[in-house]
Amino acid sequence: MINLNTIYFRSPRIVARKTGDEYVLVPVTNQIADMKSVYTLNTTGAFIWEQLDGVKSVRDIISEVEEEFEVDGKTALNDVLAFFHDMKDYLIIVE
Amino acid sequence: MNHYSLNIAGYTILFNALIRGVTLAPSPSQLSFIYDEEDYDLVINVRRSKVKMPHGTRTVFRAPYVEEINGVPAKKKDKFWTVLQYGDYILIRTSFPMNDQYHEALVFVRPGEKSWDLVIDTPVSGINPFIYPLDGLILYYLTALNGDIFIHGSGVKYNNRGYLFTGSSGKGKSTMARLFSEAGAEVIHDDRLIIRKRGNKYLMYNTPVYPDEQSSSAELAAVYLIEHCKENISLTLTHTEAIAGLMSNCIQHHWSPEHIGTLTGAIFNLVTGLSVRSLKFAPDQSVVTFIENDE
Repeated sequence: MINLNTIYFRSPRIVARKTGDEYVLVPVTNQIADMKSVYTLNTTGAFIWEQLDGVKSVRDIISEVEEEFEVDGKTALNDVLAFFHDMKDYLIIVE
Repeated sequence: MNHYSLNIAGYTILFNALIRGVTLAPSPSQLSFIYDEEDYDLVINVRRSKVKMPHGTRTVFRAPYVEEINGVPAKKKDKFWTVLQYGDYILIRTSFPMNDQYHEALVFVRPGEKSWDLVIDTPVSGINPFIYPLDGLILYYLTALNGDIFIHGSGVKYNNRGYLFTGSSGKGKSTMARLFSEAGAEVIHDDRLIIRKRGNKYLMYNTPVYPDEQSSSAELAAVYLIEHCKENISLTLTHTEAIAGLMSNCIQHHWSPEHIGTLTGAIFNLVTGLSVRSLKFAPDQSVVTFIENDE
């Protein structure tokens, strides 16, 4: 469950490479078994990733997405929650 | 001999036995890579000794020993090789599960320096300093530190054009090498290649793997991320998809953010400078013609 007041950070154990409006994310690991994990973020995911500045809450980021992509609040909420759900599964974001 | 040098992927590597009485014996796979040149890119000083770890090392990466049985990876031993940091140095400690005569080895990698050390614990009279897995580990750190790409793939030169087909195990690398070989292509390698940017070109090189391996290279014209299919389909990839696909097939030790950053940068440059596409292919000669007409 994502708390909308939580502030997230980008994990220091991720190397991010921006390509156009998207990102490739590569986790730092100490096990060869984990090495095939490479993640990509589309334009929306990339925008949300860039908002993870350690200051903005999830609620703030939803507002930013609403404004940036000119979508309604429900769409922005769904996009942001989906992002956090996926990224938390990949242990990419540190609270 | 107490020293010899190899030219692999354009790098001249001198192996130099430091102690009198120690002789070096390259394996048959290295013979066509032996190169008589005195301007070395890397000197590896070889000593025979028990492996002693300096105090203050920190383990950063571990690899178990894995064998593929019918294409399925199966872990055989927890301990195979380990990467450690010791100040600015990178230390690689390895065992030799496939060779009872070689007990253990330690490579001192000095980033930014041309001289590394190799300590091998073995009773054999003629030491092969590039025996598996030392060959891949040394080449990995040499190329990673120089911003090259070390990748699982099959590379062929056909009608003077170089093609790299990359994919994980079972995706068709060997099949593609065989099909192009049957069509008259030169197979640069069917499993792993080093890609280096030389000027505005990308060259792919083989490395010593098989006993009759001949040193070989070709300029890259196109790269394909492959998988088997019933027909031939080539798809455009975004730069992000191409980078992620290539990264997944690279030989890489992901413990160092700096090394990851260097590799993603090298791959970014490659995907923006070359055609990198997805290829679903039928395993017959039709794919050779398809590739020829695809560009």
